[in-house]
Amino acid sequence: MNESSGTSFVQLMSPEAGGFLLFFAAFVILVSIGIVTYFVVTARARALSGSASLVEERDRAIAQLTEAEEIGRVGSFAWDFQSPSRSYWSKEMFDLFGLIPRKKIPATDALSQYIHEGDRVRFDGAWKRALTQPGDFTFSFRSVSNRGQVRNLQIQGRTTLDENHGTKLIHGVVHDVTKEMEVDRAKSEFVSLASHQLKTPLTSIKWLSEMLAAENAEPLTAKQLEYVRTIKTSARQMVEMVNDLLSMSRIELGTLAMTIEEFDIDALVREVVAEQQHAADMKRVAIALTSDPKFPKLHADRKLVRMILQNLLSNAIKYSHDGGTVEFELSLVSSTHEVIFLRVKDSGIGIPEKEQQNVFQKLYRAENAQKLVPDGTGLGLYVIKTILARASGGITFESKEGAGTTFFVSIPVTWTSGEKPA
Amino acid sequence: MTDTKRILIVEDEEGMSLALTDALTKQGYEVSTVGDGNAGLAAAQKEHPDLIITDLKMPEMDGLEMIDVLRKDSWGKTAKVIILSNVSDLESLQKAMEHGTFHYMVKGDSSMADILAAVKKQIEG
Repeated sequence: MNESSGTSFVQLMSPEAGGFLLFFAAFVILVSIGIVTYFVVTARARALSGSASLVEERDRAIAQLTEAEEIGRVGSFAWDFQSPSRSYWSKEMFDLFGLIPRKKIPATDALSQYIHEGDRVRFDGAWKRALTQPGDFTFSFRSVSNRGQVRNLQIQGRTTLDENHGTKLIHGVVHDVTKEMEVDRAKSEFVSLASHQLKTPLTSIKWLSEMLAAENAEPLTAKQLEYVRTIKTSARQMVEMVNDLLSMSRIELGTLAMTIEEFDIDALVREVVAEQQHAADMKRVAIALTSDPKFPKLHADRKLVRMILQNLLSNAIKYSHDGGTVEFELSLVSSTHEVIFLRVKDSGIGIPEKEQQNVFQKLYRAENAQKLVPDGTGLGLYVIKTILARASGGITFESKEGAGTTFFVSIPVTWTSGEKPA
Repeated sequence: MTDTKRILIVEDEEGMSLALTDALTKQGYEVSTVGDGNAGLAAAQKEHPDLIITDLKMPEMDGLEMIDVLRKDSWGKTAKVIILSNVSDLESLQKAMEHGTFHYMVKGDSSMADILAAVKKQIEG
C-alpha cells in the first residue's frame, strides 16, 4: 500500500483520527434527528391546519344548509330513540313551529300543543301512525305559534323500527306550504267564479231546449226534434261538468253545503235514468234499471245524491261500447244502519290494472278513457268519493281492461244533520 | 174574474226571464217581469203578486237586499218567495234561511218541470 497515496483506513482508525469520527457520527445522528423532527413537526402542523380547515368547512356547510332551509322554508328533524343525543331540530324547524331555537327539542308526544285546534285530532292520528309504521309518510296540518301565527305545514319523513317493533328512528323535513295554499285557494276561487258565470247562459240553453222538446210544445219536424234533444243532452253534460268543477272548488274552499231533506230515492233514480236515456240511445246502450218504490225515504242531500247517480250512470254510458248494456241496480242493505247499495256495471273499456289505484285522484283520467272521451274533467269520481266519505258512505270498484267496470256504492239512508260541510 | 194567480219574476238574465215567462204563462199564470231588485221591490209593493220568483245576483239591488226590505213591509213579511239562483254556496243558503225564504232552487240543477212543480206547490200551499 503506498503511504503517500492518502489517508488510509488504518490512519482513520487511529486514536488521532478518533475525534473526527466521533464528531462525524454525532453530526449524522443530529442531522437525522433534525430531519425526522422536521417531518414530524411539519406533518403535525399540516394535520393541525387540515383539521382547522375541516372545521371551517363544516361550519360553512352548516351555515349554507341553515340558510337554504330558511330560504326554502324547510325545517329538518330527527328523533333517534337509540342514541337520543343524536336527535335534533334544525333552526328552521323551531321557526316553523314558532319556537325559539334551543338545545332541547320537544318530545314526539309534545307536538300536539303546537297544532291548530281544527287539525289536532287528525294530526294526532297521522303522527301516531307515522311513529309506529315503518317506511315513508307525508301529511299536512296547520301549526299555531304562541303569538297566534298560523302556518300550513307539510311533513315528509321516514320511520325505522327496531326488532321489537318500537320506533328506532324517525326523521325528515317539514315544509311551510302557506304560500302554495294561498295560490291554490285563489285558483279554486277562480274556478268557482268562472263556473258560476258559465252556469247562467247554460241554464237558459237547458231550459229553452227543454221547453222546445216538451210534449205539449208546438210540433217540430222529426229532424228539428232530434237537434233540440241533442242540444238538451249537450247542455246537460255541460251543466254536469260545471257542477263537478264547482263541487271540487267548494271541497277545496270548504264551502260545499250539505242540505239534508227527505226524498224518494226510487223516483230520483228514475228521473236520472230518464234524463240520460237520449245519450244512451245515441250509443245504442241499454240501461237495465233495478230499483224499488218501496225503499225507505232518504234523509240526505238530494242534490249530492243526484250528482252521484248522474255521474256514475253518465260514466257507464260514456265508457261503454256501442250496443252495450249498463246495469244500474239499487238494493237496501240493513245492518247496524240502513244503506242503499248501488251497483253500476258496464261492459265497456274497463280500467287498466296499473291505473286503477289512481282512479279516485283529482283530475286523473286513465289513458284509454282519454282516448275514447277526450273532454272529461277527471273530477267526477274524486268528488263522489269525497262526498260519500263525508256522508259515512263509500265507493269501490272492480275492473278489467276491455271487459268493463263495476262500481259498488253505499249511500247511507240517513245522513246526520251534524255532518260537517265538505 | 177568476182568480188567475199572479207571479212576479225578478231576473236580469234575458234568456232565463224568457223561458220562465213562457213556461209559467202556458200554465195559466199571469206573469210580469223586471230586471233588478229595485224594480222588483217597487213592482211587488204595487202589485202584491201571489208569488215572487227572484234571482240573487242582480244589478242595483240584489235579491237578498230586496227581500230584506220587503220583509219589513206589512204585506211583504208574509209574501211567498222562491229564490231561483245559480248561487249555491253555504253562506247564501244560510242568508236565505234568515230572510224566511220559503223555497230555494239552484237554476242549473233544476229542470223547468221541477220549477213548475215548486211554483204550483207554493201558490196552492
